[in-house]
Amino acid sequence: MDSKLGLIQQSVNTRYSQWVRDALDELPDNFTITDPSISGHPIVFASRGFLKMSGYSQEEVIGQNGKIFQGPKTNRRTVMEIREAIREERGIQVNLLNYRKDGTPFWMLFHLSPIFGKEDGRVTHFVAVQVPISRKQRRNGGVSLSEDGSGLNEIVFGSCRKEVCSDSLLELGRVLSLDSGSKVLDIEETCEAGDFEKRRAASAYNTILSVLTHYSELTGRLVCGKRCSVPAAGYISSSLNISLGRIKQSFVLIDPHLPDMPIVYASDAFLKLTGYDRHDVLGCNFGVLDGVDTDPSTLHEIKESIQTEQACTVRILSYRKDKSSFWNCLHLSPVRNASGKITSVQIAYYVGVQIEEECKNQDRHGLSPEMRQLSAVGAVKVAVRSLSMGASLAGSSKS
Amino acid sequence: MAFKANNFGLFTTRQKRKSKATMSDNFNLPQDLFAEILVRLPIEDLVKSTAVCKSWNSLIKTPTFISTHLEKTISFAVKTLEERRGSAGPVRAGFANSKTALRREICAKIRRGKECMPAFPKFLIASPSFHGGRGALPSAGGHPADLTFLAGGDSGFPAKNGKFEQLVHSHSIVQGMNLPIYCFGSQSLEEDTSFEGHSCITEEESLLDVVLLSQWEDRMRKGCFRYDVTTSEIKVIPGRMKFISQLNEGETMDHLSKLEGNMLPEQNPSVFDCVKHPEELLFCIASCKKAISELVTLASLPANAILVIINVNPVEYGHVFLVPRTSNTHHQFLDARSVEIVTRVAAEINNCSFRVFYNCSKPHSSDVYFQACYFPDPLPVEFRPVDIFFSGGRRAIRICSIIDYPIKTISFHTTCDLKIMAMAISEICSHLDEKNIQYNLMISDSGKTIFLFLQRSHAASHALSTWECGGYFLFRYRYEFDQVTEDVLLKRLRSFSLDEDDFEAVKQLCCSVASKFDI
Repeated sequence: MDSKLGLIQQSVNTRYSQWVRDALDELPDNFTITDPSISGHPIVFASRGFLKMSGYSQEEVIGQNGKIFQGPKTNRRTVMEIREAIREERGIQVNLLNYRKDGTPFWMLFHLSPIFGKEDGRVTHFVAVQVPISRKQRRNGGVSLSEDGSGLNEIVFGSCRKEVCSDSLLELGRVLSLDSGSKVLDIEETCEAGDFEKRRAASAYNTILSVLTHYSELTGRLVCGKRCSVPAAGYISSSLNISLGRIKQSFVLIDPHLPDMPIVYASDAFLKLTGYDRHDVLGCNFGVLDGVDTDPSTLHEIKESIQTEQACTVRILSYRKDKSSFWNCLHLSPVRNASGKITSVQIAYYVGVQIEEECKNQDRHGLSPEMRQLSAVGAVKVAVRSLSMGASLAGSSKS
Repeated sequence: MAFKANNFGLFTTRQKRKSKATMSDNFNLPQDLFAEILVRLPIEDLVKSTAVCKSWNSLIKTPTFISTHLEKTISFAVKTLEERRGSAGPVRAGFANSKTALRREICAKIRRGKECMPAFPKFLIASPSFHGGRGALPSAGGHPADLTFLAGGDSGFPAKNGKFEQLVHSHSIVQGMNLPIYCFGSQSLEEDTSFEGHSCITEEESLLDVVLLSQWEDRMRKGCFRYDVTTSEIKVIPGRMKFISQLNEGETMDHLSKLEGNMLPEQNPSVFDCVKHPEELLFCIASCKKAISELVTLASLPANAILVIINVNPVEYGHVFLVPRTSNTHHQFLDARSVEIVTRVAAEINNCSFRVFYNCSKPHSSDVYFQACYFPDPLPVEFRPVDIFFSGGRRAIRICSIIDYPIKTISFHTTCDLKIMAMAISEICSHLDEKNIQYNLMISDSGKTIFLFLQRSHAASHALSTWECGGYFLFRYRYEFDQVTEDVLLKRLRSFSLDEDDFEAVKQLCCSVASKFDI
């Protein structure tokens, strides 16, 4: 868990410097920033407004997935739309029912946008702005609303779909409605955001983006709100990143189409096993684990299986970053993608799954390491076959 | 054609039955000759024949006899089917199902012959003689809890039914196999706990997900499938529906090689043959008394388990049959327990790519089974806008109709009470069965959403498969794959859809059933 928190710290600091937090904390809006490249797509920053609105503390939210705010009445379809937007690396604006920590539901306008790295075109983060939607107050018996507040709500809002011209009056009404304590809301009914909420979400997003852009200049790793460049070959899209992040086995993906067949993805467990940092191994040849006593004939076997596009399982002596060695039960398997353009189906990646031989005993659930290895191959095969892998890039090059 | 006559057309059944009674006493034919004759009988007569004398009874119930008979019947039926169909329609992926359906029908018919059969010792399945001694029973490190479901599970078998099925399975599966069994923890079976709460938060792969993927990948490596489904191309068909199509040439190649090599289908049965293809059984899913789910190894099959069997003609990665082995007598209907347990499977796998299917459209089908696989992308139907027409109070069940979709579809959502949803759906389905409306079910979103596709009551052989209803189409040939347009598919789906009036009736049915359960 510590390593994950470290990653989360790094995620913000290396891109925007550590001072960005203070600047973001100044903003009044409710928003979170998530990093799709960390497994579980965790929240890496949550604004004060958001914490106040949701009732959670900073520690409870950081590192969690946005799912924790959903509850029984959250529309599953909307959740899926958001998931698809994330997979396709595009923005989305939807009405969503979320839950506070105390279990009370509330409607809000959920505005999600990706942030891209300027030079490499990769999605670095997602910003999710959340604007609570105020709605028609129902005067159910026994609910004590301030007479003025509810009267104003009735007059000004009419219904939550009604457009309202005066922002300031609405703002006043909103304050009153939010302050009016225990409300009985008919949460069943879908609540739609009006123009006010939409404008507010868009302006909040623009502010956040400008803060992020500004602070990214400090680190020299610029970000922008639109994809400025097509990602280089070997780019792992957010969707693939998120799917692969679920897999808890030690594995890497190798792109056979790039010169020297570099590692394009390394799982958290791989980094833990080998002691490398992610940026140490990405772009390196798979031979990074080899050392003085690694058997060349085994390496030859691996090479041959890649040439013939066959899977292979070998026992090979590998080396960690600190030069300590371990027996590695390596399984290498070709993984195919689904892109329809090429006549013959293209092999997208090779997956190499490692098991350290010393810890080959069964885990508490009765799973053998071999089963875990196989399941990792299976899960990677499903993830790489996704159509949305190509879709996000195709979409961006068109626009 | 001549082959056909040899198989079944030799005598009429009436003649045979008469001759049998005398035969068994008066002729001293060798045992294997009897077997040779009996194996040619249709199943109904075979069941009756068990009552003729003890030697016939025991002969007919030996596993080798059962499997030989199954093979013969299936190969014959498949042959007729293929002759009749020729190369039917563009989509052939459902083909495996018809064979499966046949096999199930046969199994069920054997089972239905229960009245003629003498009672078996009650817990035959757990008795030492059937799986090589008591020592083989609980695996090393087995737990006392494992034994609870061996002894009949929670509800127990009704004494008069299910015995024969038990026998078939116990004989054939147990032979020297250590069966991996995934035990549902009671934690995951309790209502209102894991389903709502932490199961959606953990982003990690679940244990069941790991088990299924690893077993499937293992069989893939062993070459149990007819083709590698990951080599088949998928694309989105341009248009607003974003239908997905797959070029499944694996089926074609297999088809050709079959003709060239003059191999008859029975040598490659696409369904689970417990004797010939034990490797096609991946594992079983059963409930146990422990809190946390785990994988154990058992020498025999617990009652009320779900068999997870590979489909050798996979539509997508991880394509399996889920066959509930319940003791339910209403085989033709989807019982609430089966729906509930497969929904729980989907919830427990907790992978948004995983979907479970149910096709009701099996001619004279007798056994309920489901299919499941991993679709890397959401299916088009899941993106369509919905109109909520029922929204339950306490149970939080929502029923919606899908707007602007060529086939009439209803979706059910719940995040907390899966059991009630399963009960409601199975009741709705049994009403649909009565009204002769064809339907398909698809469980998606880790068990939180269930789609009900409504088809008009065509002849059973022409019906859409569930993935087609969901907007995922398979093509055998490249030209079909390249040329297909959204219009063609829309038309195809529309031609199968239930009409507006009936749809309204079904919606009302859903509301009334749901409000009955939604207390």
